[in-house]
Order: sequence, then structure tokens, then C-alpha cells
Amino acid sequence: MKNDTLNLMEGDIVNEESSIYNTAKPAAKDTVKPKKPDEPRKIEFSSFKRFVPKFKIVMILLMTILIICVGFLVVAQRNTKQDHQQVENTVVNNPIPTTTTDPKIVDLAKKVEQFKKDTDESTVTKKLTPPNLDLDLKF
Amino acid sequence: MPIKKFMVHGKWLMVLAIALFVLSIISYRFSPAHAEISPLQKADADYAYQYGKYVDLHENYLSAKSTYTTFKTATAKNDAYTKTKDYLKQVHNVYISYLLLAKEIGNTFDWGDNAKNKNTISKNLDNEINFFVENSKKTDKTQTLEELPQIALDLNNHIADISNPLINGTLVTYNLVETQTRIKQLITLASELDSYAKNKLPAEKYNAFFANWNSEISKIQQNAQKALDNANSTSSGSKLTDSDVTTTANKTQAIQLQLKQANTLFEEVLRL
Repeated sequence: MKNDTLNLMEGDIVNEESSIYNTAKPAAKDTVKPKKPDEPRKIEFSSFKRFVPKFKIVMILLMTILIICVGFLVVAQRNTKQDHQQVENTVVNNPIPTTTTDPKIVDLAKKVEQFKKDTDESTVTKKLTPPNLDLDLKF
Repeated sequence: MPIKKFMVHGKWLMVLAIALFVLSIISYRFSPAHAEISPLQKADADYAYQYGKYVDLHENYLSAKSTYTTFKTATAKNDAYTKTKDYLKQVHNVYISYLLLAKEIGNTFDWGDNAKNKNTISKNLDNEINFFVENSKKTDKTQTLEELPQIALDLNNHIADISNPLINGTLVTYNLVETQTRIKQLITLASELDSYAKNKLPAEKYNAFFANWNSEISKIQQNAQKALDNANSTSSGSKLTDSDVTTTANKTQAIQLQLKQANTLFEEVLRL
């Protein structure tokens, strides 16, 4: 039997991929694109992907060390600041004339300050009050 | 390339981290907070620590005692035994640290001709420390709760009859020696200020000032010494009580207040 539309005879083998049946647009891969001049080579990502997890670990470790170091610095800075504050208080309470840079005067001022502290309160009274402990153990 | 940039930054970060680490170690090492502490400071800190621990163990002992008294079970008894034993051992530790602190405070005074007195006190304190160490070992060897009250009673009697009189005698002596040390400090400091000022200041302008200044210092020193000699003579005796300690402490405190008057005179010279 003859198919008038397709001009095919019965028994003919039809190629399903032929353009008669295939009304879809041709595949993109079949389209030939013009090559861009000087296109850079693409990087091979497989080796980088292996490297990234290790790098992440190293960076995390580095950041941890950094945070610890900053913590140390803050503590040391605070301790130094407290000591400076103490010295400052001592100077404010007993100011030495600012024109004086003579180390002997500074030394004498320190001794005077120490004498003031020593005569302020007896070390014996302050530190050696005997302990009064409970030894009445009854059950 | 992005990876190269990343690697460069990473390297710099590593260098920065190492540098900061080294810097923090150095600054911590040289920080005043890391400075060495004196034996006196160490003894003071130790006593404070032992006393704090005593307060905690006292609470534990009271709680265990209350539980045992209420329930009378074997478990409660065992717990009461353990906590009471720990508490009793801590009482010994408090006294040991206190006596060690007393020894260190004695080392800070200028004993002058009284070095023999210092050695005697030091030896007596060492003997007391040995007693508490040995008695603590005896406490450790107990097995039952019933043994502990007797040990506590014996310890209480020892403290009342021997330790307290020794401590009172030591405190009275220390108060007097401390005051004598302050008088010597006054004399030394006045002399240093006087010689420094006379080298630096024009004699014709300040002669009269220093003559009056020295006479004021002498007056303070003589009054203080007189009061101290009086306190010395009234503070002797073999068995000194708490009241004796308080009386001596009050007298020496009054002398130290007199010495404080010299501070104004010292500051006057510093401001010239």
C-alpha cells in the first residue's frame, strides 16, 4: 500500500531519526559555534577539590591560634593596666614636683611612701589575728 | 589566579598568627603579674587559702553531722567520719600555715640587738609546727568516728595551754619590734633626706629651715622611743593573755600614729 503523504511503500524501513518524523529542533551540540580567539584554558578542578578540605582545616587551626593569642594579649594588657593604675594612684596621692627627674629624689619619695604605708597600719595586727576554730566535735 | 591569591594570604595569616603567639608569650612573661612573689606574700596567700578551705570543710562537717544525728544509718556515720576527719586535718593545716606566716612576718623586722630573741621565737614556732604536723598524721590514722572527738579535745587543750600563750607572746614581741623598726626607719629616712637636701639646696637660704626641721624630727623620735620603752617594760611575762596582746597592740598603734606626723615633714623636704 502506498502512503501518498510520505511517498512510502509498505514494508519500507523508516528511520525514526530522519527529519520526516523528527520535528524537534536540532540539538545544540550539533550547532557549530565559532571558536573565540584566545580563549583561556579551563582549570582542572579535580586536584583543587582534593586540596580544599585540607586548606579549610589549616585555616580553622590558624584562626583558633589567633584567637588564643589575642586572648593572651588582652589578659596581659589588663594586668599591666592595673599595675599602671596602682602606680598612678601612688603618684597622685603623693605627687613629686614634675620638674624633678633626679632618680635620688624619686627613690626618696618611694621610701617616704613606704614609710607612710608601714605606719598606717601594723602588719602584725593586720595579718596575724589568731584563728578561732571550732573544735567542739560532739556526735 | 584565585587559588594562588588564597595561598599567598594563607601564608601571611600563618606568619601573623605565629608572630602574635610569640608576642603574647613574651608580654605575658614580662608582665608584672608574672613577677616572682616574696616568701611573705606566699605565706600570706597560703594562709588565706587554708582558711578558705577550712570554712568549706566546716560546712561539710556540720551537714554530715546533722544527717548522722538525724538518721543514724551506717552510711550517714561513714560520711560523718570522712567529713569530720577531713575537717580536723584542715584545722591542723590552718594552724601550720598561720605559724609559718608568723615566722615570715618576723623576718621582715629589724631585730638589731634582739637577734637572740628572734631565734628563740623562731625555734618555738618550729616546735609548734612540728606538733601540728604529727598530730595531723595521728588524725589520719583513725578508723572510726568515735576516735575523732577525743583527738579534737586533746588538740583544743593543747591550743589553749601551749599554742595560744606562745602566739600571744610572739604577737606582743612582734608589736614592740615592729614599732622599734619603724623608729629606726624614721631616723634613717630623716638622715637621708637631710643629707640630700643639704647637698642640693643653698645653705644660707635653708639653714634655719633644716635646723627647725631636724628638731621636729628629733622630738617625734624621742617621744616615740619613750613610749616604746614604757610599753616594753609593761609587756613582759611568761603567760600572756589575749588582753595583754590587745593592750600592747593599742600602745604600739598609738606610737605609730605619732611617727606618722613625720610624713608631713618628709613631704615638705621633697617639695623644696
